Amino acid sequence: MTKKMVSLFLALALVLGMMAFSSAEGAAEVHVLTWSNAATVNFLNSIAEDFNAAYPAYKLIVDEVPSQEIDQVIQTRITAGNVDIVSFQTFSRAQEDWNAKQVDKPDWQNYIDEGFLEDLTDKDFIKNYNASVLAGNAYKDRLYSLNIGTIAYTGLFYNKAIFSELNLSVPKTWDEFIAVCEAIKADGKYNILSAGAADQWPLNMFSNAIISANYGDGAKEIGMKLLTGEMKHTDPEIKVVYDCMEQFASYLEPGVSGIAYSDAPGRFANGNLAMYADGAWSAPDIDRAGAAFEYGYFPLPGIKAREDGLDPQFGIKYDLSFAVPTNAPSKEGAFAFLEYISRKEVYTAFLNAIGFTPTQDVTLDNAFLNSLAGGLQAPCINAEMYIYAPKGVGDYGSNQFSFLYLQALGGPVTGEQLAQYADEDFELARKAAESLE
Amino acid sequence: MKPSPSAVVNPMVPGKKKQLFPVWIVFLLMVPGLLHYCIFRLYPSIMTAVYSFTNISGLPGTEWKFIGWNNYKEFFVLQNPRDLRAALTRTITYSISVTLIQNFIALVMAVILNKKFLKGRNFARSVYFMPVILGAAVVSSMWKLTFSTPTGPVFLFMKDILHISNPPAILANYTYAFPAVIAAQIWQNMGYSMVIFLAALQSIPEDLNEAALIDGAGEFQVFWRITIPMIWSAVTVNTLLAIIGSLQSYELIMTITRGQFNTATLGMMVFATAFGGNGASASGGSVSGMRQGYAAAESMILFVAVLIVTIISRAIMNKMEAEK
Repeated sequence: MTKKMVSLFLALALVLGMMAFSSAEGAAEVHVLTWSNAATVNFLNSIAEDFNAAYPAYKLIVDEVPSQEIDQVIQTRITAGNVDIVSFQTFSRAQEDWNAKQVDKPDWQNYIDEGFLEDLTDKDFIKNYNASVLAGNAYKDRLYSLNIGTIAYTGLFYNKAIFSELNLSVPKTWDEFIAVCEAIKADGKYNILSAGAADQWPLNMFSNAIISANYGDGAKEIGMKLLTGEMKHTDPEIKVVYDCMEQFASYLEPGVSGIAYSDAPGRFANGNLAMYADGAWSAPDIDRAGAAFEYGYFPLPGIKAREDGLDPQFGIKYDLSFAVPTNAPSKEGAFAFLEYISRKEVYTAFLNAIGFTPTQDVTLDNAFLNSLAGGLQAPCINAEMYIYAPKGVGDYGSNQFSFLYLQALGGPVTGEQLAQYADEDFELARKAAESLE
Repeated sequence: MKPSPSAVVNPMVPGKKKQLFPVWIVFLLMVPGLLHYCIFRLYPSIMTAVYSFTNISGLPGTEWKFIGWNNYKEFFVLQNPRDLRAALTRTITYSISVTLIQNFIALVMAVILNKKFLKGRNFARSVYFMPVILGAAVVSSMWKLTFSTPTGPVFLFMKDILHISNPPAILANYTYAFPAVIAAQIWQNMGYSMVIFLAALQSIPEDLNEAALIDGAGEFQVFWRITIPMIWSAVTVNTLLAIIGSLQSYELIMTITRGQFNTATLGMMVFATAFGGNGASASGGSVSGMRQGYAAAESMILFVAVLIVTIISRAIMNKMEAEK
């Protein structure tokens, strides 16, 4: 009898527990899927209540995933049809007529061409934005995502206290940058440079930063010519990038290739690191990690000074963009969210929190962002958006310009060898693709 | 009373038929298991073979068509031969290392934990089995934290105790990352092999070993001449499970290194091609995940490879069993 009573009680508890977890009646959930950026996620969570007050029929839920998993999760969630807003970055490296045989379509292009993303071009909230800025992320002249802001990310955070102590100034040329690194090295008290290299992309974006610093918008032509074979990695104009990469790598702190990206801002905030390689989006993370010193952010300089006389300029990209899947379960809720986030006061607060350059005509009171103005007078779209790897290309080609191959970081090759092997892999991939035709 | 033709013979009383329940109930009770197998195993396997001849992307409702052997041609022609050889070598190395080392450690642990004089052996068995139930995400987090730089315990041990001036980041190093994921795979699964060995050891009659010892045989002779032949079926099972599991394995590689630093195996390539991310090519390079037809072809190639290896392994193990 006792056993039966216990069994009955457990069964009842299970049923009641399941009922408690069932979705509550009331506001429909609007799921926003985004990658782990603390500033973005915290802000979105903070406006959830206000959004619900503005649109009582909808309740905002932020679904956050690590940045390196976002592509897979987007595919899974769109396939499952259980997400209302999906976050993308720049729509770049599209498959076009000139490269159709050499590259596959990137995911975002597949989603759009297969009709999985809503066309937002004619939505009312788009009028809040600077049309010419948004057009930079359009596809076939239509907008399939709402770009919230652009971001400068070819720069280095620097500890102003350390620079002041060692009488260093922000470098304007590559030689000046090397001199700064050498001075910090000679002093011996501080680590020179670090990055969240374990995740690969945080360090590898700096090889693209080197290309942008030296070639600016010319990176587009370089990307095309490397893919078609008109240009080689061993050509002097490209080889110099590998040389700079080797120099850059030699100043990274020991064990850098094992530092997780999530830990990296905290390491800079500790105050023992002179420079930290990351995008400007990391500023809120550094503040949150409790940096007790003033820091700045300067663009990685090129080998030569700019011909227009300007200081080194940043490479930028269109960062956080919100898209609405056509199979979103709460599509009207998704549009309501986009309308809400596009309101001037909400948008301004958002941009102040995440530190992006606005795509609306608003003035921000983010001191850090305003300090970047000198490097944003003539920014270029960063080379990352233009550098392709052909289908089936080998290791050294698919990860061309990858720091983590370099012997300076425990990898198997020198910069010169990496350039040579990248050429060989590209050539092999081209021949293999031709043989399949 | 004549027994019903459908009565089940009671095996505990040979020759005496005892009606437990009609045979049709036996088949009825098999239906859920069969249905589960057909829906979640057989059907997807058949469709994987079918899709391997198509250009299906994996996005629902998108058009696809049969493209013949193109996916297979692409795998063998378009993959960089150097990197494909390296990926196949890594896959074979991974499988052999995991099979041999995992089973050796599991057998040693099982023999020790089978000793009656050992106090707390039940607790020890639970502890050794625990990694099996932890799951890839937890195991990879533990290993990443252990080997993290510059504050992880292994890094600090190398730097401060062994006084290595520039300790490598183990999980981000082209030399050490692959052995590290092999070690993680062994650590996670050796408890499973141990349980199978333990069950086999416990089925050996005690008087057999006692008689051998009385006759003057040493401990090692007893182990080699009596214990191993008696548990050979468990050795076969564990070997085949380890081979098949390690050839297909991708979870730990995916979560620890994402196929980078020369750790991508064939299993990782299949997953990354289907769902995107790193490790999608033999190079470990990162590509779009919208090619499930191609991923299905890779999966079929992996299936054929596993089948061949399994058949050969099974033949060898059977021959060795016959000799024993």
